[in-house]
Amino acid sequence: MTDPHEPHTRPRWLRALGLVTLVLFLVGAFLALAVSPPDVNQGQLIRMMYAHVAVAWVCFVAVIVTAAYGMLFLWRGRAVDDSRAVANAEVATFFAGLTLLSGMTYSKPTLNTYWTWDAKLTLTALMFALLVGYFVVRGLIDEPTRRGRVSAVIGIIVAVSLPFNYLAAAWFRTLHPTLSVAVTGVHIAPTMLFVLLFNAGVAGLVYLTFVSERVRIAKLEHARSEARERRDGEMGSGEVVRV
Amino acid sequence: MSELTAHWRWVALIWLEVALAYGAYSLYLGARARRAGRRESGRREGER
Repeated sequence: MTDPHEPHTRPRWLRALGLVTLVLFLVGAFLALAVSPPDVNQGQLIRMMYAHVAVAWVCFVAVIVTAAYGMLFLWRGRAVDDSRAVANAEVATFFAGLTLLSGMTYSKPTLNTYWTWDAKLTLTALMFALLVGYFVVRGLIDEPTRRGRVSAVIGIIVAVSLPFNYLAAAWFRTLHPTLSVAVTGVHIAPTMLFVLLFNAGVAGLVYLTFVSERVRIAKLEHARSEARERRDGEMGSGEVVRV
Repeated sequence: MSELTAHWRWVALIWLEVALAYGAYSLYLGARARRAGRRESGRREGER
């Protein structure tokens, strides 16, 4: 709970979540670096996969949640939904950037290139560009309802691209490896699957921590914005503050 | 440098990248929260 006398301090549960996430991240790294067996094809480089794939999966989740809150905003028009969509979009942008960076790092020693413009990588780059565009567009529109609606549509467009991105490795000729964990079945050893799922869970907790903190910041900034608007209203001048 | 050592360097690099990215974003959020909180508490002080 947040201290009612100090609403701007981080709630205890969020601090505990951050600490637990940090500890589990270290455990996940230990499992990937020390417990997972080397791969028959990639050897020790398979330990890179646990970092990259976990981040990529969570990026997809963040995009889906962004679109979901965007849809809620289009439906109900409540500012809180827009605020949550923005929080998720920011974290999704972070994870998309990290997916690209870790993907390039993983690609160099395994595929002998940092980048190639094939379907999977291009769609991921496009997703990152669209997420950046989400914030560029928000910066261009002053009216809150219109700003929320336009950015909600962009969030939904990014989410629509996800199935194509996920299945691009199966549908198109690409350097990216085919799916190890798919609807049709799991194609990796049980120990590796456990380490992968553990690290994906940890990345999920990181996402949850970041989004919770970002939503809290949005509330603080919204309160500040409202106070300023009230003050400006009393003084007879207006200023728009974006959250 | 042996192939095994080179592989471990790449492995260390990607984990370091992820850890640093998490740390950097945490610091950014912390700074932004402090700034928003400071202004909020400053406003409260002003209201009193």
